[in-house]
This record gives sequence, C-alpha cells and structure tokens, in this order.
Amino acid sequence: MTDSLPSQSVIVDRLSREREQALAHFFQLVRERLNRIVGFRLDHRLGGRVSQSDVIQETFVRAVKRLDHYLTHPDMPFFVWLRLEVQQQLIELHRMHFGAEKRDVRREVAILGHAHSGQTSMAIAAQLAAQMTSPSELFRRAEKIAWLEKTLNDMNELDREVIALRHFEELSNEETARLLNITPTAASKRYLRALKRLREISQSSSLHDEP
Amino acid sequence: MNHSPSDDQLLETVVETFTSQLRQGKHPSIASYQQQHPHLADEIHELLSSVAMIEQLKTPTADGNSLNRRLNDTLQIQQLGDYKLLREIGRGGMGIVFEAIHQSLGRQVAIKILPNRSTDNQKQVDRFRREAQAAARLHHTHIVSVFGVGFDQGHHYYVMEYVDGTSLKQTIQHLPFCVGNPTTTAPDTQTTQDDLEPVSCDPNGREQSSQKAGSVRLNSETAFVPEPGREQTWALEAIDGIADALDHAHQNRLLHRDIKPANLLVDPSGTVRLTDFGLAKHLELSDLTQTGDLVGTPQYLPPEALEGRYDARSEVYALGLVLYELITGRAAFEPTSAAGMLHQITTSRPRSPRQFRPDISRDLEVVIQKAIAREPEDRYQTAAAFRDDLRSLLQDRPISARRPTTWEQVRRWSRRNPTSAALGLLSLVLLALVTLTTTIGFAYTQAAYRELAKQHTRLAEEQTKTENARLEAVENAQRAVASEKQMQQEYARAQANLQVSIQAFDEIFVQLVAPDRWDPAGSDAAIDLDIDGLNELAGIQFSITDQDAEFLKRMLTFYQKIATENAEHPEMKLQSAKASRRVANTYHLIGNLEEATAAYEKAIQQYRELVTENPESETIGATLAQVYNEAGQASRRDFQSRSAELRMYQQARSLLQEHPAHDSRSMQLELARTYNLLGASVVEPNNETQAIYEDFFGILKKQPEFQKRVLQRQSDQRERIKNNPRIQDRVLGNLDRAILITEKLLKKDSEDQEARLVHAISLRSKAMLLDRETESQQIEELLQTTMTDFDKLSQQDETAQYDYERAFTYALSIGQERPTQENLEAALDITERLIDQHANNLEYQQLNVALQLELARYHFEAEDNASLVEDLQEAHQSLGVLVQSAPELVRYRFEMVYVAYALGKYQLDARRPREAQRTLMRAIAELKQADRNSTNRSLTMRQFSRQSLTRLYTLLADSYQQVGDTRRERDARMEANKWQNGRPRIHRPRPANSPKSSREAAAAETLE
Repeated sequence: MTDSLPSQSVIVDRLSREREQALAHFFQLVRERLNRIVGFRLDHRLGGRVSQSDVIQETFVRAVKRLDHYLTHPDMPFFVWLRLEVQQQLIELHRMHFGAEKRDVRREVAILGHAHSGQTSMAIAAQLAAQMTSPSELFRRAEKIAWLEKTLNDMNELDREVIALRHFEELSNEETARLLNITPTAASKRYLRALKRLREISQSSSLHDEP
Repeated sequence: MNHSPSDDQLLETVVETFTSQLRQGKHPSIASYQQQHPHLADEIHELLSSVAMIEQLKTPTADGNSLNRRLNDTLQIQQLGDYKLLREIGRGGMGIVFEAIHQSLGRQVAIKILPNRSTDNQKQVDRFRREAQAAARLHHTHIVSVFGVGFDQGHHYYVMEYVDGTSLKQTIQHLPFCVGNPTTTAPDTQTTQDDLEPVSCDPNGREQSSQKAGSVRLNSETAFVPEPGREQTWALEAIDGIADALDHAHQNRLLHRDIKPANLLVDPSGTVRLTDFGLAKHLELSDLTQTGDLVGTPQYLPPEALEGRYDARSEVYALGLVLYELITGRAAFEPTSAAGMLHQITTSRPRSPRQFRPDISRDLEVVIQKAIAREPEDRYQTAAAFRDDLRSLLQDRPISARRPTTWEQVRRWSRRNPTSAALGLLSLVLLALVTLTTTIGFAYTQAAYRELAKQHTRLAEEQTKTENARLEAVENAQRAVASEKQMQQEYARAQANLQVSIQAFDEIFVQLVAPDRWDPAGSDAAIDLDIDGLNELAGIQFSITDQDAEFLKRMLTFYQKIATENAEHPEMKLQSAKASRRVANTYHLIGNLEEATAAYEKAIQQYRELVTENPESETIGATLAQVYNEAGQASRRDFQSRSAELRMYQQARSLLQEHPAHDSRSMQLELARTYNLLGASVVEPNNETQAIYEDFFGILKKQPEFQKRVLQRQSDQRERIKNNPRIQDRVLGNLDRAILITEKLLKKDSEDQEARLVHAISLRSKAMLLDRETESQQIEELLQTTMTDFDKLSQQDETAQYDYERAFTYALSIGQERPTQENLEAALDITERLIDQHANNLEYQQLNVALQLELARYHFEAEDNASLVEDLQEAHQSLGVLVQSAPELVRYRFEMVYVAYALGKYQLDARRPREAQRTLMRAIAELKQADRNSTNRSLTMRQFSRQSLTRLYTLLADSYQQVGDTRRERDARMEANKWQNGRPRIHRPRPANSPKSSREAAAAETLE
C-alpha cells in the first residue's frame, strides 16, 4: 500500500527541490503498484507488442514532462496523479494500436471491449484466469471466474469499478475516491454495498466458498 | 440494515485490515472479527466472505519456487521402495524424473517423484492410485507404459517405462523451419519460466536448463532429428501413432488431459510416445490451496475447457495443435503471458498453416483445421477419425474432412459472435458473395476478404478440375486402360468437389432469399424444409433489394454454367436441371419475369426428361410439380394471362395425380399446395400485405374525406369472385381439397410442419373468400383454426415466418370474441418484435405499416381523431424506415405520400396546422425525390405524381389559410394549379407499360 510513500507534503517539498531525481525516487517506490495496474488494464491484445515495463517507462517520461504542471496544483495525492498518467498513457497506446488497425480490431473490440472501453469486469476475469497456473486449476476455477464476471457485469458500472480498484489495482479507499471523483465516505459506502451484493448473489447461486 | 456513520467507518477499517492480512498471506479468521464487533457480526461475515472469495480467486495458488524447494529434498533420496535411483534425468512442474532400477526384476525404469502434499487425504490417494492403475492397463506402442505408483518416505511416485530419447518439444526446436519466438517474454504472473512452453528454436541442440519432459534422458547425441525432406511424413506418422494411442485410451475411458509436445517422447528411431497418463487427473484432484503443481500454460487448452467441458474431442484439439506445430515449426498460439494466451484461445483462430508453409498440401491443411476447430462439434469426433484422415494423407487417399463451406464459416463465426452475427449477417453474406463472384470472373477485389477470396478461387479451380477430370474420364474410359480404377476414383473426387461448390452456392442463395429460415443455432431443420424451390410457403422473402438482386444476377452465371455444361452428361442431368431451376428462381426473385418464364420452360423440359427416364422416382416427380407451381406463380406476378398460370397448376395437378407414387407424402403435400395455389392465387393479391394497402387506399379513393360508410374490406378482385357464385364454388372447392389433403397428412403425422403450413394458409384463404356480412361466424372459426396451426408451428420451430403469419392472421380477424383493436394490437406486437429481430426484412416492416393503417381505420370508424392522427403518424414513420432501407423501391415512397396526405388532412382537422405543414412539405420533397429517382417514368407514373402534388399543395394552402399566412397560401395554391395544369416534366418520355409499373399504376389509380 502507500505506506512506503512519505506524506504528501514531504513528497511535494522534495519534488520541488530535487525535481527528476526525487520523482525517480518516489516513482521507484510505487513502481510495483503501477505495474500491477498496467498488468490489469493493458489490453491483452497488446500483450505481444507492448511490454508492461515499456508502459511504466513511458509513464515515467510522461510524468517528468508534466511535473511542473503537477506542482502548480499538487492537491491530488502523488500516487493518484501517477495512476492517472498511467491511464492516459494506456489510452494513447490503445488508440495508437487500435486506431491504426481499425479494420482488424473492430471485430475484436466487439468481443472484448474491455480496458479503456470501461468493461472492467472483462479485465477482471482475464486477470483471474491469468493467475491460474495450470489448466487443471483453471478447470476448477473457471466456473467461479465465469460467475464473478457475470455478477460484476450485472452490477452498476461504478460499483464494478470500485471493486476493480480496491481488489485488482489494490488501491486504498481514499485513492479510489479520488479517482472516481467522489467523497471517501461515498466510495466506502459503494464498496461495502458492492461486497454485500456479491455475497447475496453468491449465496443464491451457492458458488461461494466459505473461507 | 441501518447503522451509524461510525459503523460504516468501522466496517471499512475491518475490511481493509482483513484484506491486507490476506494479501500478506495470512489466514485471518472472520469469526475473530465478528467477536470483536458483535453488533455488526452479520455484516462483517457478509463483507469478509466476499473479500475472501475475490482475494482467493486472485491469488495464484503457490509459486513454482516453493515446488522446487520442496522437491529439492528429494535429491537426497537414494532408494524408493524396491527402486534404486540412479540419476536425475529431468525436472519440471510435475516432478523430478529419475532413472532407476527395479531391483527385484533388474529392470531399468523411470521414476517420477511427485511433489508431496501433506493434505492429501486417503480418498485422494486412492483416486490417484485408481487412475494410475487404469493407466497401467493401457498397452500401446505409442504410450509409455505405466508400471505403477508407490508411496515411500513421504513421496508419491510414479513408475514407468524408461525411454531413451527426448521430448517432442526439443524435436520441434530442431526442425529446420522452426521459427524462434521473439515475443517469448518472462510472464507477468508468478509462473515459473518452465510453465510457458515457448518454441524457442535451438538448432545447435543446446538443452534448456529447465527440461520438463517425463522419462527423458538428456542426451543430444541420441536426439532424433527427422531426415531432411521427410519432416512432414515423419510428423504425420508421429501424430498418427499418438492419435491411435489416444483412441485406445479413450476406448478404455481414460483421458490424458495434458497433451502437449513436452509430454510426447521421441526415441532415437523417431517413434513418438505419449507419457504421463493419469497424472493430470491427479493434479486436478489435489485441493485448492495446495496446488503448487504447475501443469503448464493454457497453450494447448481447448476453449471448451474454460467452460468446464473436456472430452475426447478436446484431446483431438490438443493433438491437432501439436501437429500444427510440427508442420509449421511454430506454435498455433504464440506463448505470451497466460492471460494473453487465454485471450488468444478464446477469441482468435490460429493462422492457416499454409501461410507459413505454402508447400503443404491443401488436404493436410484441411485436416489440421478440422482437428483444431474451435467448436468441438466441428472437430473430428474421435481420435480414430483423426487418425484415419492422417493415414489417408500418408497414403494419398482422399480424406474425409472437407473444407468448411463459406456457409459453415459464416455459421461458425456467428456462433462465436451471436450479437454481431444477428446484425451483420446479411452484410457479411453479401461481402462473402462479392468475393465469391470474383472467382467466376468478375473483377471484384476485396482486400479485407482476401482470405475468403482465396478459398473461392480454389472453388473455381476445382470446378475447372472437375471439367478436366470429366474429359479425361471420358477419354480414359474409351481406352479402358488398366488404371481404370484409379481414374474412377479421381473422377468421383472431382465430382464431389463440384458438389461442394454447388453446395456453397446453394447455401448462400438460401441465405440471401430466405434469411429467416436460417437458424444460427446450427439446426439444419429449417433449411431441410423446402428451400430448394421458390415456394412462398417456405418463407421466401420477396422484397428483394437492388443490392441483393445484383448479387443474385452474378450468381446466375454460375448456375447457368452448370446447367449448360452438364446438360449432355447423363450423370449430371439432374444437377443441370436443378441449376436451371435455380436460374429460373433467381430471375423470378429479382423480378425479371420474362427471363424467369423462359428459364422455367427449360427447367420443366429437363425435369420432364428426367421423369420419363425415372417414371417411378417420387423425388423427381414431386420436384417437377414444384417447378410447375413456381412457374405458375411467376406468371401471376408477371400479370400474364390467368390461363397461363392456371395451366401450370393444372399440369402439376395431373402429374401428381397420375404418378405411381401419388400416395406418397411428398406428392400429397405438393398436391395440396397445388390446390391451394389454384384457389389462393385468385383470392390473394400478388402480395398479401398489399391486400390491406389496397383496402386502405381504396377508402382514400372512394371516400377521400373518409366519409363514414360501410367499409369494404375485400379488394375488387375478391369482390368479383364473390359476386360470381360459379367461380367462388370452384375456388372454394380447390381450397377445401387442399385442406382435406393436409388434414389427412396431419393425421398421419401431426408434426408435419409443411402440411400444417399449407393447411393454415388454405384455411385463411378460404376465410378471406367468405362474405363478411353473412358468414362472419365461419370466418372467425376458420381464422381461429389458422391461428391454432400457427401457434403450433411456432412451438415446433421458432421461425419468424410463422410469427409473421400469425400477425397477418390476427390482422384479418374480425373480432367477434375479441374487439378488432385488440387483434390489431396483438398483431402489431408480433410484427414489432419481428422487426427488432430482423431489421432487414422489408416484408415485416410492410406488414407493420399495414397494421398501423388498419388501426387508423379502426379509430376512424370510432371517430377517435386523436388516435387516428397518432396511428397515421406511426405509419408515416414506419414508411420512412422502409423508404430508407429500400430507397430503390418507389412503391414505398408513393405509399408514404398517401399516408402523408391523410395525416396532413387529419392534423389540419385537429387544428394542428404547423404539424400538417411539416408533414406535407416532407411528402412533397419525398415525392419529387421519388419521381427523380424513379427508373420507371411511365405516363401513369407521371400522372400519379402530378395529381399527388396538386392535392398536397392544395392541402398545404389550406393549412396556411388556417394560420392566416396569405402570402404562403397564395404560393401553395399557385403550385397546386401549376401541377394540375400538367406542367411539362423535365423527364424525357419513355415507352410506358413495362410490367413493373403495373403495381404503381394500380396504386396511382386509387388516388383518383
């Protein structure tokens, strides 16, 4: 979690004095988290062409360029800012790759349509499936993953996004609230509600494992 | 549950803490949190259960390193039971393999030590043993024998035959054409390197450190490399052996579950054997949290496995992928991250092997494609079938698999993309047609569909081949040389190829003319129903757009070619006759009725000859009758003399009555159809919905002001019949015969859909003939029965056609039991649903408009002007849609003008002059546009336009008068006068009275 980062004021202070050097330092601290986000959001169709570390690299370059801009109004937490830059970088990537090959991808988009088109649940299912280390394990979990995907699909988009941010990007409540542009209380409420909803549905479909 | 904000905060904290503990790999207990906050116990349980579920699904179950750590202990082991371990020969996710000596027998064996699991309970151990015992019972040259399993010093082990060799994975890497895979990157998940199975070529034969094979001795000197130039044969032989081995296992009810190159061992002689039988199952049985055992990436995982289905066909798939790899030197799915892999498997299709190896035969490609088809139903259904085709390839015999037809490809694609398919189906088929026509000599190129085009070029090639083969066959037959047998085979094959191409065309034809008979679920039942002919009853759609017509015209060339080139050849006579019929039907469909009539004549002649040659044949006889009936309908549409039409039906009737097989179902059914046509052709107008139109415009015509009067529902023609009791009796007699025959057929088989359809339609035709005033009771009964029939048909087969017929019947119901409005609304409901599902079908749109107009009339009679305006608005809007979807069909534009006129009128009556103005101005614009676009500038048409414009402008002037806009009023009146006085048109005059204009002419008359 963000424990590794010093407080926002310390970050801003060092960023203004040491510029890129400080940025590189703090960036390094959150690199793993950013990596997870990229892994989660990067369109799988790009998997062969774009590596995650490239995206991270480019995000860093991007952040360097936009550092001044950030420092004029550093009211957004440092990590949330970087995550937004990651997101922007991904959007551009997707646009570049899929914009250029509209014809080929158009059909795929209809099938996948996740990542930047907002279908978070698809990304969730893909990520879950990706974690399965063996086909046999997949056999066993496929049903559950499919169930989760379906359930998330049935949920309100914002609720779904909250679950995605909290559990798959592993963001804190405050960060989630920031990103969704709602108050932390509202974010927390949504999150808890979404969890309850999941539980309700799972009980009726009896797929839920008791931990 | 209500609780305070602080409780919310508390819950958030609890969830956060719990989550972070889980992520640190701890096992926090939900109960302890419940105990801490008893007043929130229920909610805590709910929330944390969900969190636990997500996080558990997310967590990779164990990392590969821990496996290796655990396995490292085994290195210390020297002895396991009766086995003395000699040396480690390989290691991988499944365990470590040792070369060992079975001491009491002095036999060299391979032993695989499986990762030990403390949690294995007795039940699981037992199952593992049972599975291994089953595997041990398999005896096959291409299966590495399993000797047994054991448990010693805390380790489960698996004893098998010792094979001196390498894994197929390495052999692939040694193939001269193997392609290294630059995208093989470290996975982004916590899988270990050896879970990915990249084909990284290594021509130097350097061994990979993480060798993962079963009982493999790492000895590159003994490693088998296929003889240069024999790679393909060797690959086919290898896979043939494995397919045979799998078939053997499947017959013993044993699935391997993990087929991949690493599990195939190649001995120095090149013999390939399948190893690790019974192991995957074992891993699958292990419990969730303990599975650190990595079987591999999903690279060879069949797509259906993601849905939890796995059977023999899944193994065919995996083996097919191995063959793909052996042939092309690259993996069908590039190994990227596991996630990317899964996406590839579920969403993309491997590229055609010939793209990489153009030198491989087409048949081989077909075999591979069939084995790795995404849908299990499309694959070889058994490993034996796969093996048989591989053997055929090796022996240069014809294979059983055939290239999927265009049609199947469309269908497969649609099965995968049901939503896009529903929307894009027609356009897809049209595109396919475009490419298809290129093959018959039309200069169309579609880069996007190059792939498809290629296939069709092949179709064309094959056609030429057929022709050559035939010539050759004739020559050879004359010489009667010794190689006669082989030549015959070749000929048969060429014939079969031609059949395939004909079939492809037929499929497309059917799709084009009867899209609603198409069933995406893959049931062929709908198509089996009479689609060969142009029977209206089979749901042929007659509103064909220009675009469709253009494609059909191009297809004509193909059929004509078949018809003429094969006419002389006795075996191909039937084929030729069929093609002639198709040519006729095509002309019929695109409205070239003159050509159609000529083509029907030819088809009839050909079929007659066939009937003479095969007087007993029920099929040929019934087909000829069908062609007669089709020809009759073409005459009717051509507004030819009724006698020509009736003559055709009569021919059909006598043929059917005199045929030796006249009692057969198909003959009886066709006879019923013939009677129905003899009756219905007089009753029903050219187009069923046209009847309602005619009625509606009849009112406009006779009572331009919608004077309240007794409304005449039947069109003039029907009126005439009713007024002539002699004709009416005859027509009713024919319909009664059709009803009687179909009733008999239905008694024999109540599921006979075709008979029921004829039954229903005959009943309805009869109802339409009866006098509404005096025989309403009987009409209602007939329509009720009709409805029951259609309900039943819909239950049997969910075809839009039946829904359409239901809606149409509703519309005719006069509503003694149910008020008319209810019937109409029920009918509207059905058509609206139909339109939702089949946006491209003009017929449905048309019926929708007709129904809205009926409703309008109902409201007119009820003097409900507000509803009337609403109905007219709806109808107007729907017509707008029709005009848009078929801009070339002038009819719709004119119909829109009528409706606009009525709408404007009632809007004006309702004191809504502004709305009326908008309606009228749009109608004027539409009319001028239609007039400009019309290819048919007959005198009647021009008259019609002129009169309509006069009326529209007059009404427009009235509307300006209502708002007191005198200047505009004056302008409009001037326009009206101009049109009335017959201002010369810009169009150059054309000879009038082409057949097409008749309908519009008829419509034009109604305005006067």
